[in-house]
Amino acid sequence: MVTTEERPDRTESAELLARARAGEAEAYCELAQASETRLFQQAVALCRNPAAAEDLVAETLVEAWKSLHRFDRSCRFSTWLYAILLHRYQKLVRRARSRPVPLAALRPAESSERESLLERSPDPRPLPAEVLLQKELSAQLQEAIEALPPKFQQVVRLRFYEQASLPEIAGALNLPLGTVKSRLYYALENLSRMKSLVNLFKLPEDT
Amino acid sequence: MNVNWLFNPCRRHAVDLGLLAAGALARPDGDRLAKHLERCPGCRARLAQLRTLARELTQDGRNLPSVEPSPSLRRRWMAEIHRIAPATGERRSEDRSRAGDWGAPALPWLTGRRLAWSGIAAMWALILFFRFSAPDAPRPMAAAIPPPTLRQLLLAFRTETHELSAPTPAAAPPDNQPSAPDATAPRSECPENHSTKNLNTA
Repeated sequence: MVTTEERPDRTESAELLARARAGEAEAYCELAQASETRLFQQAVALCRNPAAAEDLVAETLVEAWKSLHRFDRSCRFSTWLYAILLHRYQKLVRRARSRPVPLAALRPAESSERESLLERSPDPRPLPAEVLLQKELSAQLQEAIEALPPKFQQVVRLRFYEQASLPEIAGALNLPLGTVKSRLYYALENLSRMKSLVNLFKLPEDT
Repeated sequence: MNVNWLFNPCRRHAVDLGLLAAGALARPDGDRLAKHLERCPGCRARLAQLRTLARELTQDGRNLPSVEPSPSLRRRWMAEIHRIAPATGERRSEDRSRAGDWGAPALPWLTGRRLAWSGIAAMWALILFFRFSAPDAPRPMAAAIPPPTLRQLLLAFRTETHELSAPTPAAAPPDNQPSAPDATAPRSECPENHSTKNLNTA
């Protein structure tokens, strides 16, 4: 009944990383290219807008290059990049909320979003009902996660969207392991009590 | 401190329950939790609820949109990195040389907030050490006055008891009241007078 941590194989090359840390831009570009597509997909899942996602990925990769000396290999390189992406995304959301322009301006309407995704998709066939349903569930989950405080969002996304282990999350966010554990618990606790998710996934309500 | 937490095993295992649902629990905690789960149907139901949620989140995390970044994205960030690379390299080498001047930190984990709290704790430890470890040297004022002898103490005690037993004129009773007993006569109900008598006889 006790589960173990899933730790995917480390794909980043130690040699490339050492060269990049020594200041070799080519080595860093090679290293970052391996994570670029996944990072972009994660950014699209966050922003739901490919143009905004591209900006976010570009900012993230440049920021990662500037602070590469802080990467201590306590987590995967891709996890570290995703943590930077999340940080920048939350900054973007905070900035957008503080402006008079509504946040909706960053996100196009559902139909145009789907069209833009279809244009870029390698297989642009009409989406079957199951996929649409999955998209609906995904949108509900994203809304629920975004209702959490930012510190809980980071832990939930790193755990479930990056499949990072708890020590990796602690390394990526530079937090003690105990803090990561309690944040993950409180995030799940808050999510499980949200009415929208209780109805959506038929979660049994507490008595 | 919330005392209920100590006596409520469900609350004690709440965090572990969440971690178990998220598939991120180490074995020793899991064994303790397994024993609790065998006995507690409420926690079993809660675990099922959290597991459903964790499964949906994991599923959603694996279903990332199947989109490819445009080639212009790669060109964009690579160009930016090559543009800033010389400056970044210089800054890093400066950092390295600065670190070389000072040497590697003796305690690399002792930074930021930890360093601040450690400093405060060390300061308090020093204050407490000097407060309680100082030798019991006589204070200057106390050293100037010699301690009283036993005879002086007894005399002072006798004087005090005489003053207490003497009647005061203001406390004289009115005429219609029964007169007070003679102040010189010993009062049997007062134990202090016995001690005075004993002292006088002694």
